[in-house]
Formats: sequence, C-alpha cells, structure tokens
Amino acid sequence: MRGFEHQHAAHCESGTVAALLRHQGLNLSEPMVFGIGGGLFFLHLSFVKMGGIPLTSYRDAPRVIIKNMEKRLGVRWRQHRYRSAESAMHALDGFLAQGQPVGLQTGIYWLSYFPIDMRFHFNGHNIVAYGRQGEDYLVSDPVLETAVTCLAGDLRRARFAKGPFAPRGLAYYPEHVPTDPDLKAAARDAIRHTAKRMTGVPVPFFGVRGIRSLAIKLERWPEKLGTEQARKWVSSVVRMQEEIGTGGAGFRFMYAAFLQEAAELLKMPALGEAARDLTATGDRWRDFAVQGAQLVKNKRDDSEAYAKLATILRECADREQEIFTRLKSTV
Amino acid sequence: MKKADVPQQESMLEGHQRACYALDEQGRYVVVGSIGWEVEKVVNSQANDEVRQAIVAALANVRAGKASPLAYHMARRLMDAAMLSAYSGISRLRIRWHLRPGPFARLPEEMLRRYAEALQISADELRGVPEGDVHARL
Repeated sequence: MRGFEHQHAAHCESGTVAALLRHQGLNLSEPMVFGIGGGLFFLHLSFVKMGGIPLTSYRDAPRVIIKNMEKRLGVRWRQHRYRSAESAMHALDGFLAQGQPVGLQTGIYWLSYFPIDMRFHFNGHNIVAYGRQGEDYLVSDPVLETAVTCLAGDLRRARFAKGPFAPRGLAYYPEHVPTDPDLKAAARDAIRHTAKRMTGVPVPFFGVRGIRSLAIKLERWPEKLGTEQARKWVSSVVRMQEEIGTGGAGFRFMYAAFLQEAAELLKMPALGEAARDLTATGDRWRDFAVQGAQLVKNKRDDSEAYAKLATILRECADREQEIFTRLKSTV
Repeated sequence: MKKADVPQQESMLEGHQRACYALDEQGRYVVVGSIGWEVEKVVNSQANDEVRQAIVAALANVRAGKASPLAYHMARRLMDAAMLSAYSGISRLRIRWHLRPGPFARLPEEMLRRYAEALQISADELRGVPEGDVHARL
C-alpha cells in the first residue's frame, strides 16, 4: 500500500475528500472538490441560534461535498457510525491495519493538537486517520500545514463529541473511485446547481437574499440588542467568514479558484471572467471583515458603523446576484 | 486577493499556518500559508474573552455561595446545561438543580463520577474550586 500524502487545505471537508480521493488515484485540487461538491452558499437564520447567536454560514450543510462526489463523480462511499467508542476505535484499527486511510468526523474541541484558543465545541470537523504510532494515531488534518500525531484519548472523545451534529463515530472512505470521471459534466452541473441556490431560493434566508436580510437585520442590531450584544453578533459573522477555515472571504476565493480551473477544463473564458469578478467580490467581503473587526475592537458603537457594514453586504449581494445569474446562462 | 496581500500577522494560530487562496503574479490561484490576520485575532479574542468572563462570574458565584462548583467546571469546559446533559446523560433539569450548592453537596459518589467523566476532570477536582484566580479555560 502506498504511503499517505498530507496536503494543506483551506477547508476540512473539501481537504479530507480531496485527500481520500487522491490516495485512491483520483487527483483533484481542493477547489475542484469544493466546487463540484457544491460547497459554496450563504445562509443567515435569525431563528436558529447556536449559543444564543443566530446562525450564519458561508457554505452549504456539512457533508454536502461528500454526498455530491457520489452524485456527480460516481464515487461510492462506505460510511459507518457506531454505538460505542470501543467499537468505533476497534473498527478504525481494522481499517488502518489494512492500509486504508479513513475520513473521520470529529468535535474540534477535544483535539489538543490545535492551539487552545481555537478549540470550541464544533462537531463538524473532518480529518483523515492514516496510521498508528504506538497507542496514538497518525492524523492528516487538512487545515494544518503538516500531518500530526493525535492522542488516542483525544481522538476517541472527538469522535464521540456530543451536542449539535454529534458525529457518533462517523468513519468513511471511498469504496469505489472512477478512474476517468466526466469532470466537465460534473463541473457544469455543479455550477448550475450552486448558481440556482445562490439566486433562486424564494425565501429570505438563503443565497443573495440571505445576504440582504443579514444587512437589514445587522443595521438594527445595536438598537434591538444593545451595543455589547450587537458587537458580539457582528464578531460571530466575521468568525464564520474568516476564522473557521474558509480559504479567505467566506470560501469566495476558493470558489473563484474552482471557476478558474473550470474555465480551462470547459474552455469557457466566461468562467474565467466570473472568477475575476468573484475575486473582486471576495475582496469586498474582506473589507466587511476588516470593518467588522474594527467595530468589535474599538467598541465604536455609532449606528454609522453598522450602516457602513450593511452597505458592504448589500454590495456583495448585488455582485453575487449578478455573477451567479450570469453563470446560470453560461453553463 | 493577491499573494503579496495575504496577511502575515501574529495571531492565535501559535505558529501554525492557515491555507489561503490568492492570486500569483500571472493571476492564477495558488495556496498561500498565512500565520494569521489581525481581523481573525480580534474576533477570536472576543469569543475567548466571553468564555473567560463566564468563568470569572461562575467562580465568583461559587465563592459567594450562590452556585455549586459544577457551574465553574462547566464554564471552564465551555459547556451549558444542554451540552453537559448531552455528554453526561443527566437531564437538564437535574443539572440545573445540581448547580445549587446544597443539592450538589449531597450528591452521591456515582453522580459525581458521571459529571466528572463528562467534564473530563477528576471527581476530587469537581468537588471544589481551586484557590486563587484560576480563570483559564480548558
């Protein structure tokens, strides 16, 4: 069996999937996996609160990328969940003994190889276990620059973290990987799908409508919540955009990288233009993050600062609406 | 974002690098490692400050006799009653009850052991709070 090769990625799910497919001989870049996996999205659900803060996400639901590899590329996954940590760890040892690297869903809080200040209770973190070292495990965490050793106790607890999105030991690997999948058709289908979801869901929570409704709500936060709480909520939006591995600008740069690759693959220069425009939009998202952080840090509470943030959001929404509407007719 | 504009600022990454997508001189996307960004640091510190404030408040409440040590150890683990309930299998209502000093002091060994296990600390540690201002998160 060939050794496992670690590669640094921006996002845990696309990084894990790319690594597992690469190991089975299908070499796709992380942006390609992210794009074909339909990873890009936006949602703001003011009525779903996590730790008292409304849910904002720059990407689609966890495990969407894994599922779309099956749908668009014909990858067949084996997936297991377990009743107990004992059986989950025992099964993992079995896979590793056969030389099979395995994707694991984990709770990042329990993984002590991360700096402590980055460890929060988030259960959707994907990593690859690819071997053992004594009692412990060799782990390729895609968002780290090198492979690491993970303590057995950490891994066990992380795989059985509790609360929202509890992994219940989830382990997965590709059972069948096509040698020559139709990447062109997959890329087209994926772009069409993402473009539709970004512009066409007729409720004000998803896609560009979600961005606009966040703009409206955010402007009212200081008045409605008081300045301290409002700052906290702005901070959480910026964290979702930048701190939780996105490759920059809430996955917009990574998706632009995908469009750039797709332009070449499909010989469609229009996709290259879309990549450039999305990059420029990403730069505006970065401006949003900078000004949001300033507001958090300097405790500048004038409503003008919130209005300015909302203006950038509306601009991002307009630009993304234009880009994805154009993409729908391009592919 | 261009490669040269990828921020390289001291941050909570503690020497780790984050993968960013940025444009090279030819306008092609490449992966660039970033040791951190001031923006990330600000919002991350905000979140950790909040955790710390919760620990400080819990410790003060325990010392004032208004809460049981369980409150302090939960705060250090960044858990609320709902999350501790998911980890321990003990109902939220019972946890709320045990957050009072009196009922907590009367807990049988077996219940203490279950809480300690869920919080990944020893039962002895769980029984009390440390001397001094120990406000560090776990």
